[in-house]
Amino acid sequence: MLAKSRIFIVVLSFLFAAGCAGGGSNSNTAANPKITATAGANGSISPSGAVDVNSGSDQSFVITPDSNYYVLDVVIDGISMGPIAAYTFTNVMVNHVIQASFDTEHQLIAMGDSITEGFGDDIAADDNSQDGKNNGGGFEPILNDLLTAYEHGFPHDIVNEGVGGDTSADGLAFIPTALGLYPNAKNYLLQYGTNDSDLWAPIPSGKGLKPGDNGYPGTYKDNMQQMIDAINNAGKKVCLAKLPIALGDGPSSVPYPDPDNAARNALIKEYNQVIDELVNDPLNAITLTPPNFYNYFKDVDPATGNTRYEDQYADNLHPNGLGYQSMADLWFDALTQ
Amino acid sequence: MYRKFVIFSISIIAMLSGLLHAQEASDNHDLESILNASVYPFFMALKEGDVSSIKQLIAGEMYESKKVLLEKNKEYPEFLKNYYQGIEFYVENATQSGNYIIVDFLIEFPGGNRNFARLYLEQTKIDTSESHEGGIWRIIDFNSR
Repeated sequence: MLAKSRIFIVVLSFLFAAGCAGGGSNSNTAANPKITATAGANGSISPSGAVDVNSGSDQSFVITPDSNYYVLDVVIDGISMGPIAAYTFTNVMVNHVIQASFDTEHQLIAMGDSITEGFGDDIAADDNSQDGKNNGGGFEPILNDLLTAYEHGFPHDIVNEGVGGDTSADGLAFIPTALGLYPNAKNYLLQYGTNDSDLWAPIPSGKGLKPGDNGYPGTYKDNMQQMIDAINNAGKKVCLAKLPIALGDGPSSVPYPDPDNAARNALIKEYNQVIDELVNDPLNAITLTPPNFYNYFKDVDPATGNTRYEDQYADNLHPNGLGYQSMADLWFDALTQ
Repeated sequence: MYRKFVIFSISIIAMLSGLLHAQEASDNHDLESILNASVYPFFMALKEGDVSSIKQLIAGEMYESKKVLLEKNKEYPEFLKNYYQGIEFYVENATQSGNYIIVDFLIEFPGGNRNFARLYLEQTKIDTSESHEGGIWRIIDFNSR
């Protein structure tokens, strides 16, 4: 009898040990499933750690970001659920994993001239982003809505730092201030050059030149390269844009008879080639393909049969409301490629 | 080149004197002097890529935004010469408004394409050796109209 009892205890111990080992490593344990909940920096998930769940019951989790942070993503069993604040596992029969991550809002700084500023925007309906953060027209509020929707509601802020009349030299002078003003910014969207090509002592492109060359100092390339260096050194990402076609010397001056072949656009096209040189330089670490506003506005819109600048420009230099919607779309494509 | 500029200047002055006929003779004389001292030499300096003269004739933001180009870029003179080759400037009007002089002018491109632009001048002193009381009139801004 004693011997039989000992054998029974040994068998029971073996079965118990086997059951524990199986429950810890597999996801098919019915008796005592676990949900492993972890939170990244700047937020919490509750409950957290290895949470035991009675088989077949429900288990809820609440995800809470720290102050000034937002839920970036919640990943459940390897599948992104987006920035959700809570999640409930129902009828839990197997093990699961839930991981939450947090971030500050995605702030992008749009720097440039009156085109970045939004001059000529004649559509008021899209002048304010849905979250109320970006106002005043231009492509920024529209881009905010597009990016926020794309990232399942994660908040964005597209700061408008466009200044009418600014050149690449002005942008370079402003960069230290911008980096100080927006320490949490992720990206800098740079679009300079339309005023560099102005009639008064235009700025040479510097195409094909490099630092140390006689013709390099103060060129468009020099100014843009210095801006890129400053932004990269601050740990931010640079996004460049190719400049749109100009239809005349000033906003309301006599339009060029053949814009694509006007002297100003010859210079603008050189600037756009410089953009390619800068993007293709691996030291600049620019991963995004610049939106090509020149070709977009110059090309014929198949829907209308007109060149797009005919329908999407407010004057010789600035897009209208429709044009800014197009710019937002092109920036969005570039940023989400 | 110099002869062409003299003829050009004379025609401009003639045009200007017609445009300003309603003003006092002394005002005309002052404006003509300023155009001769600052505006025509500026146009000439652009066409000849004479950055030394340009540096003397502009001030403020206009100078600051081009400072590196004007002071360090050894190929900028050639760039300017090429860019302004065949371009002509014709002063249409000049008026004094407060501390500023506004000069409207016409730019004619090779091939006949024309555009209008405006210069803004302010009396500034950038060098203590300048004898003129209050400095000379320098171009501080430009825009296309």
